[in-house]
Amino acid sequence: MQPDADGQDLELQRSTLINAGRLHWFHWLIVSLSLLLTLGAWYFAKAQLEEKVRIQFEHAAGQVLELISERMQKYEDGLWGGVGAIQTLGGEIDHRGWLTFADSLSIDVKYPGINGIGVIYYVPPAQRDAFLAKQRLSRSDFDIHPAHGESDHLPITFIEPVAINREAVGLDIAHETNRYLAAQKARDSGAAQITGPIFLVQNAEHTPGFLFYAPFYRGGTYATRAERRQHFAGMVYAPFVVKKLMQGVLAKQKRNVGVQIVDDGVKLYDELVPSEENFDPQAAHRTYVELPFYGRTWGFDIWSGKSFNTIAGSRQPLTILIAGIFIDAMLLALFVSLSRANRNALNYAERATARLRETAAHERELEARVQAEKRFHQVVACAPSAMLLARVDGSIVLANAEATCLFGHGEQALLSMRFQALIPARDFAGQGPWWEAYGDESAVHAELQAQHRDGRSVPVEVGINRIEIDGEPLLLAVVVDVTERERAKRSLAEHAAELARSNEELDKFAYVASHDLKAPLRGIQNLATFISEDAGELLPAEARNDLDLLLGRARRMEALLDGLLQYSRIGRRESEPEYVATAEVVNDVIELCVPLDRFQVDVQPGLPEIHAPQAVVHLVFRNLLANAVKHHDREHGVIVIEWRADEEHVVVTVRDDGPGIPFEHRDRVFQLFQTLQSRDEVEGSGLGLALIKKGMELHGGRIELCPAQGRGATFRQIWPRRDRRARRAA
Amino acid sequence: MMNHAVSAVTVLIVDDDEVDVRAITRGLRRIGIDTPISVATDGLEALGTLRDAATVTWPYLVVLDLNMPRMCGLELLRELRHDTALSATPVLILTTSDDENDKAHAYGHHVAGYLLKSNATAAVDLIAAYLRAVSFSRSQVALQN
Repeated sequence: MQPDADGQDLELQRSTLINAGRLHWFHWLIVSLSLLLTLGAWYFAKAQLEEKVRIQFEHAAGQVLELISERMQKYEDGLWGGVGAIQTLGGEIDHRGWLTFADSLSIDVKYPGINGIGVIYYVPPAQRDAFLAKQRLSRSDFDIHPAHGESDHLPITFIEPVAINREAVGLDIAHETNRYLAAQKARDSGAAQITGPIFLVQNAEHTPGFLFYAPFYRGGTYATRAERRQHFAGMVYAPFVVKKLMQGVLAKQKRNVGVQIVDDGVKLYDELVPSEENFDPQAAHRTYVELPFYGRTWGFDIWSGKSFNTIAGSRQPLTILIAGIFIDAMLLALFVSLSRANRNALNYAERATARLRETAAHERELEARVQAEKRFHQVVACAPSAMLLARVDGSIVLANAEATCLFGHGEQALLSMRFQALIPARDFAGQGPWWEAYGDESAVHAELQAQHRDGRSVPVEVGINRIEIDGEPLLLAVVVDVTERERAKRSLAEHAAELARSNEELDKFAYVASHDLKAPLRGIQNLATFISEDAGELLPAEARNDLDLLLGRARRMEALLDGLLQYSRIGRRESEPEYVATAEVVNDVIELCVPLDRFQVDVQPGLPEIHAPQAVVHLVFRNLLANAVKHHDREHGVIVIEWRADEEHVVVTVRDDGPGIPFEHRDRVFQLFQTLQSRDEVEGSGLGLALIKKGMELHGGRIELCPAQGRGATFRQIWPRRDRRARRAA
Repeated sequence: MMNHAVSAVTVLIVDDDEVDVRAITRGLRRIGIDTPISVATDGLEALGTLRDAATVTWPYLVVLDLNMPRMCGLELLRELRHDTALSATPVLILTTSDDENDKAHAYGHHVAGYLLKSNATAAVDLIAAYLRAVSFSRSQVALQN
């Protein structure tokens, strides 16, 4: 029980370990939850970041707008400053005065992005010449240009710094619609106004720009449009190249958004071009704002730039995601590696166990082999016959004590010899290995001569078997000294021959004796007959009776001699066995020996054939039936002949209902000259059953007396069965 | 042949057993046959008798035993059959031997019959029948002459 329980325990532990070595649902659940958590964290972080970035972007965009507004406000302030200066001088300012004012503004420093600041006077056509004359007092080359179809003139009179705005001096802004319309709007509204998109004449690059006007009136400010038109004196203005303005306003390096400014479908400024370093064609954020700007409506299209992405585009969510997935992967890998490690450990344990078992089995096997070899050696040593173990080349590796006796060589000497030399094979012409000369393994090769050390030849029988010891093919030869046996065999054969001769002589003797005895017997019979015939009448009655007795005894002796002759003749086997039709023989015998008026004979039909000489079969039935009739003690009798057959025998029984034979005489009745009744009562030679016995036994059968069952005697003949069919098949 | 007509047929019993010889003789006499009977106790003696008488007497009926000293019955038979003068001599075998070989040999030498001594009566009857047949044919020959 204990090992069983241990085994079960071990098996339980093993299955627990195997189970532990597998990935289970909870492992996958942990990994899945972790992954879900990672995704959630990533999504949340991403959303937060997006919100933050959106706010940042909006802030940046707002900042841009604010900067532009602020700067424009500042420019407006500058313009109004110029208006104020002109008003202070009573509505008139000369070239020198404006130069002074402009210098005081320090445009380069305070108003970066501005192209300059100037004054445009309103000159009605009637005063054009006077105006020109007046201006030519200080600048002889001053002129109003170009010519146009409008009635009014609005020439740019002063512009500082003049060096970069020379082309603008004298330019009549009424010649062009955008400039003119904006001027009219400024005049009518009294408010600062900017023009629609224009190209500044002084800007060789021909990038979009605009003019910023601030109107001034003679005598101050006016509330109505009519008054303003009536007292309109001119405008302080500043020309802008938008690009330059923006470069001044927006320090690019400090912002991370790009902007496009559109006025009435015309791009005033555009950073959203591939040539822009910071341009991001797939901008994550974009906003479009339209703002009223000094009489115009500017559209601001603001995109997040590449740098925005760098700054705002935090990699935190991605980091979270990657880190999370990495951790999950690590977790999974950990599980897998743990499971694998577990399995490996289990495998290792099983391999180790198997190895241990193998080793144990191997050791057991080795032990068994050692034991087997020991037993083999013991068997060889104790064998009553000589045994030699030889290699395939015939060299002897093992010889037992019997072998040393048989060959007369010591063990060491034998070990240096070859089998073929010790027992030369006879008549071997085969192509195979040498040992085939000694017969195959199933046969014993007899009548070989072993060479004894002293030169004698010893008759031996040799049996050779191929065996394998430790992988080496060897030949185990058992050599039996058959000297004694051969002698015994010869002696036996001699005895048998002698016995046969003796038997033959006995038969011959019986024959000759009985034959030769018959002659004098016949003489006695004849002589007694002669006496009886010649002197019968003269003899006294007693002598006549004696003479009759003499003749009776002589007849009996004749019968005995006939029987003996017959007996000896059976021994001489004068006839050959044949397939005897038993039924016919039985019928003949019944006809011959059985008085059918007294006896009823029942023969079982289908008596099988018996393989023996017909004379013998005849003799057997004749004697049995004659005995049954002769010894019967009643007036009427029944004789029953039955048979049965199996594969080996045919059994025929002859049963009568006579006095029977005591079973204790079962052997005696078959002996020569044995009768159970006085010969004076029942005349008989005492040879009949002996004849049957001898005849049957000579042909392989036998006869026996069956135990009595009620009245009568039963004899059983047992014949060997030799079917014609079987014989033929054989 | 005329000269021989008056001569009686002689039965020559060749047997070394006196009782057997007597049994045959008695048997023949008891049934009234008085044919001369001569006896030889062995083959040599019988051969001598036959050769001496060959020129003067009618051939003998030889009743021959097989088992005899000096010259047995079969040897005598062989001699007779090879002797031109005696080769036609009728021979009846009367023996104790029921050996089939003996029987075959005897018939091989043209014997008139093969009888067993155990059945002496049959032998006597056969001899008698033979003698009567010969005597009848002689008387016919004599009448014709």
